[in-house]
Amino acid sequence: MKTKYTIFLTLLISMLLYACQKDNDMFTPDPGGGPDTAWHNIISNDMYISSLRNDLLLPFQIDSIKDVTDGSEYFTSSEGVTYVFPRQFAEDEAGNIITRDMQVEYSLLEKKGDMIRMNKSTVSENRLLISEGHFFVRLEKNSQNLRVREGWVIGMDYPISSPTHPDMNFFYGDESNTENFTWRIPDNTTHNSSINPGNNPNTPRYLIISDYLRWISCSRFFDTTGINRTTITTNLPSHFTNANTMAFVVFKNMNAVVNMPASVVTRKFTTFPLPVNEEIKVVVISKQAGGYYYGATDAVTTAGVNNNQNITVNPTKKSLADIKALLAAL
Amino acid sequence: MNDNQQFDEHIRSQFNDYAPDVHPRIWENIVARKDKKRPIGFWFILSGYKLIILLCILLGAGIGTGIYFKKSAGSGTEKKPVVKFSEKNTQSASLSLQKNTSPGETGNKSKEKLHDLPVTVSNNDVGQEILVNPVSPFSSRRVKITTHSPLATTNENLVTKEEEQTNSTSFTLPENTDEEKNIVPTGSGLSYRSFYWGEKIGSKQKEKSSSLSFNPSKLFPDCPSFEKNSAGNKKYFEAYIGPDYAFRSFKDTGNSGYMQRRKESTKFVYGFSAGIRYTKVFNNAMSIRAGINYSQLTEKFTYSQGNIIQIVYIINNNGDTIGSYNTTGKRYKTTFNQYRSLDIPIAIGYELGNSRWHANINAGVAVNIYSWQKGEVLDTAYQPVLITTGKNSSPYQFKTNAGIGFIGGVSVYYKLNDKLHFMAEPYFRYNLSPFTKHEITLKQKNHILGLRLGIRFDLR
Repeated sequence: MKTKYTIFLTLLISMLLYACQKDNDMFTPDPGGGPDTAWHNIISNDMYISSLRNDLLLPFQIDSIKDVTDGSEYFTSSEGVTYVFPRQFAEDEAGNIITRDMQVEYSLLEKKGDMIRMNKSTVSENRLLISEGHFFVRLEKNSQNLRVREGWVIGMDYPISSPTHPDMNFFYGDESNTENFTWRIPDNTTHNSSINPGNNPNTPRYLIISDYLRWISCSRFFDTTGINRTTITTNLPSHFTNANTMAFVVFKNMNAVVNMPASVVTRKFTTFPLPVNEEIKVVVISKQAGGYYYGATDAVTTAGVNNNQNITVNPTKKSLADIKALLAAL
Repeated sequence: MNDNQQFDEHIRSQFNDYAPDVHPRIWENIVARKDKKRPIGFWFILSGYKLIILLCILLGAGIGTGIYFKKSAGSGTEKKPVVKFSEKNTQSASLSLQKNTSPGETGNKSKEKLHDLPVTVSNNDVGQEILVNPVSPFSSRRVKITTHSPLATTNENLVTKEEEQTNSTSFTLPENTDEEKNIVPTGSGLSYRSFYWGEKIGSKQKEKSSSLSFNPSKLFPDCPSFEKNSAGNKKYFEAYIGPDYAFRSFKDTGNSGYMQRRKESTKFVYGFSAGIRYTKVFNNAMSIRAGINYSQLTEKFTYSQGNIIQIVYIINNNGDTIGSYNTTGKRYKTTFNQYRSLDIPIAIGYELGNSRWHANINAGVAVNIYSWQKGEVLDTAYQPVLITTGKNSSPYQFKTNAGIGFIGGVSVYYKLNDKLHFMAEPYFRYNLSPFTKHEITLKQKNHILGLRLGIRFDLR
């Protein structure tokens, strides 16, 4: 009797156990897969780095110029900058004077984080700049870009919080190389652009005269005379490449940001020589397979081996909002 | 001629012409067996002494079984004076009990015959021995009796002994207990006590002490209690569980590539059913049964999809995600579909059997109360689609009522005890209607072959 019950119970338990089968949804990768560790000479629009830059861009402010046929118009931005547009200053690309209904896009970058987001470092032809602010002004009418007529200028009255500096210079942005944006000093023989400090020390300001549109910078050179310099190189995991990553050196004690161009040969991001003994933060931002990564390492520039300093950065996954917040805090 | 020889001669002469009545049941069974078909099979290979040996073995087993059932059943049939006594120096060959006027009185002996079996029982107080002269009904030989001291602990059937061979034991009467006082009539004397105790040790039921007549049916074992009526107005409750196998049938319009893909994507894994039912067996052996049955079929659905891009994350030792990348590969999906149903099976049958075994051949219908499913199948775009009942509304889901099916089976029962039978029942179920919805042209049916194992409770 006991044997029969034992057999019956065993059969029942076996059936119940066999009933415990789990559904399965499994992905089997193809052989040879893995992260992309290749560095590229040319960056295309379908690479993650292009997408990352777009994701970080700050929006421009927009205003309009109704009619400058008989007089100038001006408006003041939220940052307190007054933009002045004189009478009949604009023309289209065909040379036709445009006086009515122009749309103005403008922006002011004062913070280092904003400079990183717009990928506008404070570098002029491999020389370190200390910036008071970068401006952006663009005119258009009927989706056509407009320009300042020859011999005419626009003006920006830019109040600042610190005393004016006598070495402040006018720089325009050279966007011909998107991977290596730089600021340049205009040729004064052909251009009428300048930075003019205000006279009242109680209300320090700069009056910027420009016949350039788009990117304009109010900056000065960092004097490296007699100062040792060193290049900064990042050490990153192999799957951080110039196809998905950008790196910057942020100076903590001055308003200066230096982008780190990619070296395809060495597979690293490297700066031009920077002054030593400066407190910096190396910032790395990356976008990979739908996720964002951010890493930052504090350091002091030192003259390393062969005047090169390697700094290791370990980015980790972050949300885009978190990255924007971290950049705003720089 | 010495005393022993005289005794033997006396016994022999008494039983020379003795012919006990044949128990009526013996003749019935002989007739019944005669009417049965000759068993076929291996008998033909037996001949001569092999057949005789086999018959002896079967006969002995039958008698032993009958004796066992007779003792364990306790059905209140005729009591046997299942007492073994031994005797020595007896001068009587009969079985009888000596009746004393009062318990404990010693010295006087008297004889009283139990039919033709007088026995001499010496007066004895507690601790003394009883002398009885039993005679085997199977032989005209008398049995010598000798006295012994040990208490007979069991009442044995009377055994045929060889002449001159002494019987095994006598027994010593136990103390006159209160129980005995309540049972044995006062003044019945030692004889009654001995007779009573002889019974009590071997039987759980009391026998009327007044019966001092010899009844052959009491002396030798009854025939095995064949359950002649496996039928006979009986009611049973059954509970069962067991494995099932589903034969799946698909039909579709034209040369349906979808039907072929659907068949290839699913495969039957296992099934089982469990239930309870009530069976009534009538006097004419016809039966009817009804109950409730739960069944579950499990089917394996497999699906593969190539050129899948999946994001792989790189995690460092601290658990931080430090990178990610896309990788291509193939997706393999396995889902275990389950089809469950609740039915009311109703069947009529015919029950037959004897002794330990019954069989019930039955057929009927299974009425589906409710069906529900879980899992996935392919749709006509060859993509997985959910069929789980209640999750969403999809034409690929199955009906919640599968209609009626035909059932048929053979139930075999093995008697464990008076109340319980072990049951094994192979059965087949044929479903009339497809259980796919009418919104799709594909029709699917499941027919079931299964084995039910369980317990049958006799409700009488």
